[in-house]
Amino acid sequence: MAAALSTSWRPTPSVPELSASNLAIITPLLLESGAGALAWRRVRNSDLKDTAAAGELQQAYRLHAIQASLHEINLKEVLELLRSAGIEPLLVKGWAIARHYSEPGSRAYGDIDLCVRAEDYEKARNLLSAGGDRYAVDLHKGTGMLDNRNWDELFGRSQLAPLDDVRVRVLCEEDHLRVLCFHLLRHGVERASGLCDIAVAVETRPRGFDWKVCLGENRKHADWIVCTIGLASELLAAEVGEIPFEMTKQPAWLVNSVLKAWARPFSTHFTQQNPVDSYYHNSHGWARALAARWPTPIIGTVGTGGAFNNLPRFPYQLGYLLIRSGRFLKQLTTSEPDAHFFTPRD
Amino acid sequence: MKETNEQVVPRARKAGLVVRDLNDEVLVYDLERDKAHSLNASAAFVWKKCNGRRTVSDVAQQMSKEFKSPADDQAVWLALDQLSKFHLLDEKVTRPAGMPRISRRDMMRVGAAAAFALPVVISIVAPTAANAQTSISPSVCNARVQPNCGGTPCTGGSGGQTCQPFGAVGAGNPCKCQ
Repeated sequence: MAAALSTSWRPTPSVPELSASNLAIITPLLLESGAGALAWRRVRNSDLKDTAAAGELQQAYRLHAIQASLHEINLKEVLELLRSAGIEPLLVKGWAIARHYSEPGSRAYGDIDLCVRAEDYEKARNLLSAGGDRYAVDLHKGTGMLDNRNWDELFGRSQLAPLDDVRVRVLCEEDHLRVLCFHLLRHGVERASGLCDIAVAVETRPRGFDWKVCLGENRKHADWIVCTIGLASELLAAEVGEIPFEMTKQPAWLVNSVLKAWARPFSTHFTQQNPVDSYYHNSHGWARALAARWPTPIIGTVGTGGAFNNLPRFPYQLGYLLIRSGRFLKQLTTSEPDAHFFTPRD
Repeated sequence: MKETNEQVVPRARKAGLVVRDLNDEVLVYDLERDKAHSLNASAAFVWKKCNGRRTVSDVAQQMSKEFKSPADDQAVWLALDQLSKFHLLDEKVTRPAGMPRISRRDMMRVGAAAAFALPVVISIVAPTAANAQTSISPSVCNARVQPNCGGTPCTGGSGGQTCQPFGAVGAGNPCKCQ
């Protein structure tokens, strides 16, 4: 996967050193994880371009390109709808990072992630619900799911990015890179395309990019961000350029955890877990339930607010499992989903 | 009486289409039919030149100029036949009397239009068909109301969940991943 995606986001990606048989093996993984279009950008100028696998990647590229157009149309409509009601949403991920890729359709995204001020949430939700399934909007109440920085701080630094005749409010580049890193880590860097986002955000960062704003004052969080950028550099050959911090070698468990996740079909990340009550009447049920929910080293570390060092990950993984169990029990009693999934502990 | 090549003035359809130009092809998504198509460079050239005023012969001349290679009316008709079949023209166009339908294979065999790729329009997977397989996050599901829960697979959570009506069944009531 890493070999297929390295430099794939650039205007002129390098030709991959992959055999046709290897490409055929990884193509289903690339397609499932939404990285098929990026892989096509690399193979289209190589001897692999006429293989059956490359044909599938090209179809993904075409599909994502059309989807990008449809998302842009939807995004414009949603912005108009919310703004007409006096709500100014903040777009994160999706189009906000896709616009930095050198070609439309390189970056697949399924929905439009919009954050609105907590007070506007219900109103926004009702407006969007009136459209039924028309808008694929993932609406967030504030920015608590994304970062521990508060709404006013993030909104205050946000900027307006042009989309044809509309201006879309997005996070400033510093906050966005930070949010992208946290989001990716929270999901265990399971999507290779997510690490491409980091590479793109780093390589296209504007002159005068303020690393102090991006990294913040919390040393542990800064370390997470630096490690994520390090992963993009180590696995995907992202060019980091001049940076005001030292990029040390990534802990072995971190790289291994990412490569292990990428080697699994993406759909299994979500479908391997049956509902807990399906394990009740099975003699080995709880052991199976536990195994299915055992967090990856990255998810365990981030979920417990741990440090990315060379110490064993088991305590973090166990700790995070306990936190999740606590949340599960809380949900059983309150029937309310956890609104603040991002709960770093300093 | 059928028209001649000098009288046929095809017009590209504009309404209900989303068009995206890529490097060496043009993608067209038909919102009404939920069909997506890829036009190669020569098919896209013909399509874009169809403005309802240019004749088939005019388009052939411009095609020769653009691709620096002789292009005859047959090459244009090859594109028009496919564009018409995929509903990418405002009105169906009919070949003039005496102009036989020549397949792409036949054209290649006689070596016509050798310097440019012959016009080809192919269908690709439509976005909504692909989206139907996509999972949604719990917050997208929560934002939906009945009867639009959709039963779409949910991401995250305890897995294996789909977006379903939550609580009392009735229009306007909430949905939840369960």
